Amino acid sequence: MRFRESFRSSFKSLFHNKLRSFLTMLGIIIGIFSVIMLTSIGEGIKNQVTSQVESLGANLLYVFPGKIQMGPQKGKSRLGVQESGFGQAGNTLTYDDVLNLKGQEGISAVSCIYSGVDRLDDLDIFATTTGTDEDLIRVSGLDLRFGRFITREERLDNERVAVIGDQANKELFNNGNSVGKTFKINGEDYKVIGVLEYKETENMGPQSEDVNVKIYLPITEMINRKEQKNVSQILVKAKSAEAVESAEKTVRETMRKNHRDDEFTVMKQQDMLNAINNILGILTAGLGGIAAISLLVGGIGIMNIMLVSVTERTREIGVRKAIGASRRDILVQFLIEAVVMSIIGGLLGLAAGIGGARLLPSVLPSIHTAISLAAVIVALVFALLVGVFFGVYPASKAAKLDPIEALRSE
Amino acid sequence: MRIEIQGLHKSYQNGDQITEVLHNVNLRVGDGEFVAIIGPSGSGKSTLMNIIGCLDRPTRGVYYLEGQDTGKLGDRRLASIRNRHIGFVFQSFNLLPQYTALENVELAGLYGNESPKRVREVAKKALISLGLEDRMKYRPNQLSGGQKQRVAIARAIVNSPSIILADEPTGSLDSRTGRKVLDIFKKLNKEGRIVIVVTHDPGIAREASRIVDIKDGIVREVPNEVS
Ligand SMILES: Nc1ncnc2c1ncn2[C@@H]1O[C@H](COP(=O)(O)OP(=O)(O)OP(=O)(O)O)[C@@H](O)[C@H]1O
Ligand SMILES: [Mg+2]
Repeated sequence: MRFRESFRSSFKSLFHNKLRSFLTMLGIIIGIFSVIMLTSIGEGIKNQVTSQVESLGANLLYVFPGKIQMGPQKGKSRLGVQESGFGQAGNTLTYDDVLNLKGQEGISAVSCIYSGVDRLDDLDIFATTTGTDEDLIRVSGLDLRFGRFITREERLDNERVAVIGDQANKELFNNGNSVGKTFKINGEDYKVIGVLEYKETENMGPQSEDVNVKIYLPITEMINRKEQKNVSQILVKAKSAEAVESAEKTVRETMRKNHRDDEFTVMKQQDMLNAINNILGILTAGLGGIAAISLLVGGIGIMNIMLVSVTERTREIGVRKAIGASRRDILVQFLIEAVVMSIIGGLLGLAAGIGGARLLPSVLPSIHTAISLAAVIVALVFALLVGVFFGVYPASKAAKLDPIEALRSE
Repeated sequence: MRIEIQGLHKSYQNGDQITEVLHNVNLRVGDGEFVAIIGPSGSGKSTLMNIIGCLDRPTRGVYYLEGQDTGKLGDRRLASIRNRHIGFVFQSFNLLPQYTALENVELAGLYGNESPKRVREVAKKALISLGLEDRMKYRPNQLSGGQKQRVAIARAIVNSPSIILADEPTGSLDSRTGRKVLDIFKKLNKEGRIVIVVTHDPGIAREASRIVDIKDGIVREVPNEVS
C-alpha cells in the first residue's frame, strides 16, 4: 500500500476510536506540556538572573570576607562552597581596605556595604540600615528620584544624613519629595538628602535585597557608633571590562598587604554568572528530566493501548492480510498509528506548554518564563522517538500474526 | 492460472496430539474451471481453501501456482499473490466495520499499490455490477446479509483476480439471493476465471464443471451428472 494510503488508514482507525486515542495521547500531552513548562521556568530564571547580574556591569569586582571556594572542594567533604571564615564571624575587612583600593591603577571606583540594625523611632521598629560611601552610586545601579547621594564631605564629617528607598519613603513620609525632611534613628535626627527610584524587587542574584526598603547612611557615621567595625562586602569597579583581569590582580595584591589569603575572596562578575548558570543549568536539566519521565510514562500508555488494539483488531489484521496486505503494510499502519498519536499529542502538549509558559507570569508575576527553542525541538523529537520506540513492538506483533489464525479469532 | 497440488498433507497440533486433517491431496485445476467442493462439516474443506488461497501452508506436499512452488515464496510475494491473483469470499463476509462498503472494496485495490483515483473507479464499477450503487456509503452494520455478501464479492473481484475462492458464499442467504450470488460466480467463470466454491447446496454443485468431494480428509473427484 502506498504510504499516503497507510497514513489515511491509520488516521481512520484513530478517529474511529476518538476518545481512546485522545486519552492515549493525554500521557504525551502532559509529558510535553511539563517538559516545556518546566524548562521555560528554568530558562526564565536563568535569563532573569543573568540580566540582573549583567545590569550591574561587566566590569564589577566583589571582595567578600573569608575564603569562598568556587567549584569542587579540595578537602575531604565535597559539600558546601566555603572553607573557613565566610560571613561575618571572623570578618576582617575594614573600611581602610576600601580607602586603600580607591585610586589604584585600573580601578575607577570603590565602595562598600556595611550592614547594621537601627531603631526607627518614628515607626517604632528596628530596621536594617546600610552604611556606604559616596562611590556606591558609581559602582551599583542606583537611581535617584529626588535629591542626591551621600557626599565625600558628609562621610568625612560623619554627618547624620540618609538616602532612602521608595518603600522607606512611603512608610516614613507618605511618599513624595522628602528631601530636607528628618526622621529619627536611635533618638537622633537624620536628614533625608535623597530618595531612590522605585525598583522591581530583585529576588535573585548577588544584590538579592529589596532596594526599596534601604536606608543608606554615611559609613563612618555608622561604624563610629557600632562595635562591629567590619564591612560585609567591598565593590570595585574596573575602568573597563578589559581591565577587569588586571584590576582583580591589583585588588588581590592590595588586600594581601593587610590580610592573609584566607581572609578575603575576590570575585568577578563572570565567576558569579558562571556559578549561577551552572546551578540553574542543573536545575533546568533536572526539571526537564523529571518531565521526561512523564513522557516515558505516556509512551508506555501508547504501547499499552496499541497492544490492546492489536488484540482487538486481530480479525481486522487477518482480513487485511487475506486481501493482500503484507507484513510491512501492517507494520507501517500500526507504527503510523502510534507515531501519529505521539506527534499529535506532542503538538497539543507543545501548544499547551507554550500557552502555559506565556500565561504563567501573568498569574504568578514573580515567575519569569522563557521558551527555549532547544527544549521545543528536543521535546518534539523525544515525542516522535517515544512513538516509534513504543509503537514498534505492538506493530511488529500485529505484522507477525498468522493470517489464518487472525481470521479465526473472534 | 494453473493450480497443482501434489501429495498435500495438513495436520494440526493440539498439545502433544497431532490431528491430520488432509491426507495426501492431489488436485489440478486449470483456467476456466468451476469447481464445487462438497463434503460433511469438519472434513477439511475450509482448510484446503485456505491453502489454495495462500493464507495457510501445507504441512507436507507441494502447491504449485502457475508452476511456481508457493512453499518457497516469502511474505511479500504471497501477499501480492493474494492481492492480485486470488479473490477470497468468506462465509462470514469479513468486512471491516469502520469502513463503508466502498472503502472496504477499495482497500483490496489500495494494497495493490494502485492510484487511489483509479481504485475508486474500479471499486465503484464492481459495486455497481453487483447492484449496490445506492449502498456504497453504507457501513457493514447497515447492510443486509446478502448485501454484505455482495460487497465481499465486489472486494474479491476488484483486482480482477484469475482465481476466485468462495467458502460457503450462500450459506447464510435465502435461496433467491443465493441464486443471484451463484449467477455472479457463473458470470465471472465465463470471463475465464477459475471459480472454486465450497458448498453444501447440491443445486450449486450441479452448476459446477467439476465436483470435488472431501470425506475424512480424503479428496475424491465426483462425476457431475450435468456435464
Ligand atoms: N487451528 C486448528 N487447530 C486444530 N484443529 C483445527 C484447526 N483448524 C481446523 N481444525 C480442524 O480441522 C478440521 C477441518 O476443519 P475445516 O474448517 O477445514 O472443516 P470444514 O470442512 O470447512 O467444515 P465446515 O463445513 O463445518 O466449514 C476440523 O475437524 C477442525 O477441528
Ligand atoms: Mg468450513
